[in-house]
Amino acid sequence: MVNIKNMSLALGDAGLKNINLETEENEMITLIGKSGSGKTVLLKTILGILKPDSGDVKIFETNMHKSSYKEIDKVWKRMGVLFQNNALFDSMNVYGNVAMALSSGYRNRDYHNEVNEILETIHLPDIGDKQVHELSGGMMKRVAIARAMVNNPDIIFYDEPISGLDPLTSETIIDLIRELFLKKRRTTIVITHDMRGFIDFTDRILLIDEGSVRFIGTREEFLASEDEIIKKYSKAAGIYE
Amino acid sequence: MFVKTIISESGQMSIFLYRVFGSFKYIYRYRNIILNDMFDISINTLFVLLFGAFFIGMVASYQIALQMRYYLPMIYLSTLVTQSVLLELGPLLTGIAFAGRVSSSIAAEMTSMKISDQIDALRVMSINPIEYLVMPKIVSATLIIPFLTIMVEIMIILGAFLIAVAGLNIPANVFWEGTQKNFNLFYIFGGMIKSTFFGFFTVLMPSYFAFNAGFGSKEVGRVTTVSVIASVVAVIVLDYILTRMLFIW
Repeated sequence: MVNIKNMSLALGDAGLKNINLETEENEMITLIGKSGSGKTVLLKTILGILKPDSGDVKIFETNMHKSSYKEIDKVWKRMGVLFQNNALFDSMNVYGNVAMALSSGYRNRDYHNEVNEILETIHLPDIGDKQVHELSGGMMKRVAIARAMVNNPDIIFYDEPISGLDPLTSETIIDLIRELFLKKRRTTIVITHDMRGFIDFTDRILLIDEGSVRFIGTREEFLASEDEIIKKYSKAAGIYE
Repeated sequence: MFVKTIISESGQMSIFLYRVFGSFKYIYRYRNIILNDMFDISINTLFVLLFGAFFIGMVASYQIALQMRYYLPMIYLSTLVTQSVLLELGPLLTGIAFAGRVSSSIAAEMTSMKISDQIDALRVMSINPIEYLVMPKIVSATLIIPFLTIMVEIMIILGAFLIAVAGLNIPANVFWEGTQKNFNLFYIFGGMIKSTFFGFFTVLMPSYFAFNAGFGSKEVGRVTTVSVIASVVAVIVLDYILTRMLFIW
């Protein structure tokens, strides 16, 4: 699935140093790290948006920086991404935003069935006609998740899915991500600075610290680690005893 | 350092331009967006353009009358106004107004999209942002600007006519007779060709700068300012080059 080898990228204070990662099919990885540690930079490099200085990023065996646009486009068609700022188009309504992922921007057929189905999955039926600015922060997040999921992707990335949300809304979003993961069983990578809520259903945890991988392993290995920084994270997540 | 920046920017802009030209083969696919953009651009610029053009016509009428009053009969007032409008004032005014109104709005819109990850979202949804965002705006601007230029030219001449008749006591029939002296239809087409280039570059500049914007909301202001300056400079430089190519051999 995702295969990163010796990848480095210098980008101001948020660079990445010698990142290695290999994901298994249908597993969930929670990528944690403090703000500015390089999590989003890593995501954008995996997606092929930022180009690394060295190393390789492959998804489904396609090199995301050295392959042709056509090949990379095929990979993009198989993935869903929730961006940190939701990246919803405020000139469109909810239907337009979700249908966008299906239409490739120009196919003008009716996508109501697919859109209504995914809106029901995120427990927000009947909001297709609402404009983006009419939605609350939590609803925007859910619509952005719907847009990421509507193509039924093989791999899905969530970038900071609960940042800026109140605890109750965060809980709703975590529940939705859990539900989608358990129901669809797609390879899922959640990027977050707050691992509470994700820890109990994640397969592996990846800790990025100052641009480098500090830890990668299962929840149990994470909890058993004697590393001081890892202990701090466990404590902050309320799972350290 | 400065030379390196110029070379690097020119190279990047050439690549961007190449991608824009490459996207032209999808014009039919994005025809609805192009029509919407044409409508938006017209609505956004028309009133300001025509309002400004009318006053410029009035000023031009007074200034030309002031300069020529001891040397030429007043029948030539409208001849001079018409020639200067068709050859220079009309296209240039439309180009600069485009640079101010259209460039700034495209720069602000696209930079906001860039910093809020909307352009990246398009990419990962398999939508080429140059095809979807830039190409339709360039096509619509280059298609609509020649017609806006003609409307501006008509408005300037009407402004000049009002002052000539009401302020300078020139009979209406003398004014219209003067507009036809030394008239050449190519002057109108020449102005339309010039304005087409202005339309192309006043959309290309903000799109390029927005796509290369950095992080943070400060970028919206920076990119908008840079885009307007670059567009105005491009219009003025192009005006000289095209005038030499089209009218002065």
